[in-house]
Amino acid sequence: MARKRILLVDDAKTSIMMEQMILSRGTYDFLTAKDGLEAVETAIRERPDLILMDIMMPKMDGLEACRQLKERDETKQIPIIMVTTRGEAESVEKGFKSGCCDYVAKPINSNELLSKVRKHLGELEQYGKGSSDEQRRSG
Amino acid sequence: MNKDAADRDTYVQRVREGTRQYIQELLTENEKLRLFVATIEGEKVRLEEQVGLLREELDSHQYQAAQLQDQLAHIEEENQRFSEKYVEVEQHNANLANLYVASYRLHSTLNRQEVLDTIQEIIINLIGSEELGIFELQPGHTSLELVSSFGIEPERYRHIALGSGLIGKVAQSGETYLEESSNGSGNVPTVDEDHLTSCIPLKVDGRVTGAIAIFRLLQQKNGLQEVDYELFHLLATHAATALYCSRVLVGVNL
Repeated sequence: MARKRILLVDDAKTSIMMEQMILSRGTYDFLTAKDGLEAVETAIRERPDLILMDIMMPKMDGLEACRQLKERDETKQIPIIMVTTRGEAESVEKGFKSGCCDYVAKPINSNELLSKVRKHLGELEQYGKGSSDEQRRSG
Repeated sequence: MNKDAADRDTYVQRVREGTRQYIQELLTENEKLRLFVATIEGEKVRLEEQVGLLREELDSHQYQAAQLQDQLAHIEEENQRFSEKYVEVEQHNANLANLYVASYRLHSTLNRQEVLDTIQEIIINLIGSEELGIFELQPGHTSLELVSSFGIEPERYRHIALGSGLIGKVAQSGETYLEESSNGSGNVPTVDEDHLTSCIPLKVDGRVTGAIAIFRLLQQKNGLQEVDYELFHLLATHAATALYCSRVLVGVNL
């Protein structure tokens, strides 16, 4: 089975590295982008299976990048999870309005991130009963 | 007369014969019943033995069931313990990953601006605060200068005299300041230090070279956690060394 590809978008290298470390528990390949513009270009070119998107970034923020990707036929089906320091309800709502399918607040909880990534990659159903323990642990 | 006597005798004979046959039939029937009773009693004994065996079996099963219940409870308890241990190990792994990433990033460059950016990234993304200031001790060791900041007004913190306010005291004493454990310490924050959550002295070879001030934590962050203290400890030495090395390199390149 082909390895799933995840596009990690963040202007902070520390954040990208942390996400890679957490997700290295699964078997994924990673693509990276340091701003919204690069994220849109990479997503169109590479068609990743999932995108983890920061909001506050130079050139183009994550909300705009998310909106643009959801408007394009070739990228609109890619699930986008916002990963950001903005955890307040207002920001979460803005994120969902832009078209993201989930939200993870920083500092990242590794179990939460892994669980949401697996959920949106459809891996929890695939693992079936075997993964239910992990889900429970992740809350 | 003789005929009457003869009839009577015949009648008596018939009655006797009838009675004898009846008694014989009763005896036969009695014998059959006795055999039947004996069979039933035998069956009863056999059934009682079977009941006894079944009772023993039942006791044994009940004992086994109780044992299995105990084992199940024990396994469930163990499972719960392993589950908790798993979560603990996962947390520990996550903490180690945080520390690894922070340490790796701090020492991955000698570019001063990148080091400062990395310190900011660690505080924003791993600790969870978007209000921070990075200070360096000035030559002469009488004041701190703000060399990088995020989310605060830089002008308010540009220069801090050594020993002045919480940040100045941290740089003077070399002791980390934590808001949650500062009650009764006698340290008085200045107006600008109102929301100071923590202040970490930067040290190279035990000598203070600066300080990192962390103000308000992110809204979703419920106080400092164990890994944050580890990160403070790491920043105190590794950030200081990284900054020092980058400054030395700037000097060498000049």
